[in-house]
Amino acid sequence: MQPLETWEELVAGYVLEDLSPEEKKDFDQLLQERPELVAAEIRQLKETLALTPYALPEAVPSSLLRNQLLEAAQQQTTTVTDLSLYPPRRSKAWMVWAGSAAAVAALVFGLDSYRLRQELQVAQAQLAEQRSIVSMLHQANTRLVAFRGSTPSSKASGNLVITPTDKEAVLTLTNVPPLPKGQMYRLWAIVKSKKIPCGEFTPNAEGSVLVKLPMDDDIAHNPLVVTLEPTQSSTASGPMVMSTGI
Amino acid sequence: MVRLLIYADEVRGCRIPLMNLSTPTDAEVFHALKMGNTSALGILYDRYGGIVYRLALKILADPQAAEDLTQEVFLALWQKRNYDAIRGSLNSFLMTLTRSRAIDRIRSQGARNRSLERWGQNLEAMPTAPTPLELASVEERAQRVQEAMKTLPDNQRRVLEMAYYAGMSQSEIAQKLNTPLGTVKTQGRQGLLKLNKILKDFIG
Repeated sequence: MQPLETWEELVAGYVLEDLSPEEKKDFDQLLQERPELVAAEIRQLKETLALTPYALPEAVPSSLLRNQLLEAAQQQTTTVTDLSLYPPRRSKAWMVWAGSAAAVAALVFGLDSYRLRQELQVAQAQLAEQRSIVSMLHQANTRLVAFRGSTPSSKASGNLVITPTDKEAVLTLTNVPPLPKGQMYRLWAIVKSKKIPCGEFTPNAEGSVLVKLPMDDDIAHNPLVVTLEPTQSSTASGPMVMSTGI
Repeated sequence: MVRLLIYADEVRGCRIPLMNLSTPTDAEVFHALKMGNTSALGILYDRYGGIVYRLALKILADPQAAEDLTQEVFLALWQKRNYDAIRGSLNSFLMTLTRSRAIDRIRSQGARNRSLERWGQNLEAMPTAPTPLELASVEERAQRVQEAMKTLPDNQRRVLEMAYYAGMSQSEIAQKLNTPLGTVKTQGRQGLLKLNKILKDFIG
């Protein structure tokens, strides 16, 4: 082990990326001798270096940037969420078709198009998601909580399926009205008159929703509501569209 | 401690962090982000958007380019969801990502800087509780770091700034300052070690 000053300087040199070839050898040896100590020091020095921007003169980005970011993220979410939305009835056949057609096309025609790979990925993602949900439903202690639309004219309905052991819940809804632009649905648990955020979701074109949410059983014993909220808002301020009516 | 009590009493098991009842740690908010919660992204932007922009502006020296990069960094966090609290703080992750991408933009030799994105590899320590750094506001952080920077001799501070913000190698700095390479290296390393000594307790 080298003198304290030397080994600390070696690690500082590593973090600043200025080790000479000779120093690199010494550093490698040090790393072999005291891996945990060196790893901790590297981490510490990197954290210190990452703090230096706080000493820069204050500068603030445009206030519009936050909304632009959340809008862009929301657009990506819609694409991602679509993968787990409840597929139409023909989906099973479509998935088999997509899987086999993609494989055959790739083999026979040597096609490796981006689109084909995307379709296969979608099919695989849907299949994995559905298998996982079926496995949840097979559990003996699974509990069901029914949702209804909050207005008499609403045809929206569905269930929250909770598996206490997995600490997960699956929300399945149908006839959910399409979302206005810049808005999304949020699920809340009402605990001691306060709304606790439990997830957000977007229905597919048929108004169906199938999403898996992390949730403990306890929380689902409270009343649950679905509200319509602006995407950039994290508070419950929009109208209630569905509830469990517990 | 108070925060955890509130969590246990109010949440009763809901594993989505409570954004409106207590102050969740970055790791907790990031967990919600991984679940696809855009509000969580908004919270992290509120916490780090300013400092990401500040760093981007310092390196790029162009407000529009700095805003574009700020958005790009947070969208990368949202899309890739590859931050891992085991490897270090979110601040460190975001600063590394921002600096790396900003320097890539100002230099043509992008390949050299891609190594900068290898953030926190081989690290094992796991923070279990919020650190003083996490609990501090942006203003408190700025004050602590500015005070610490002031204690550095000018030459140490200058070398650190040239390396960090301009992405200059030590030999480039030595050439620019007309100072022997060995001296520049020592100044940079001692500057970093001194800063670390002052800020160690704050980082936690």
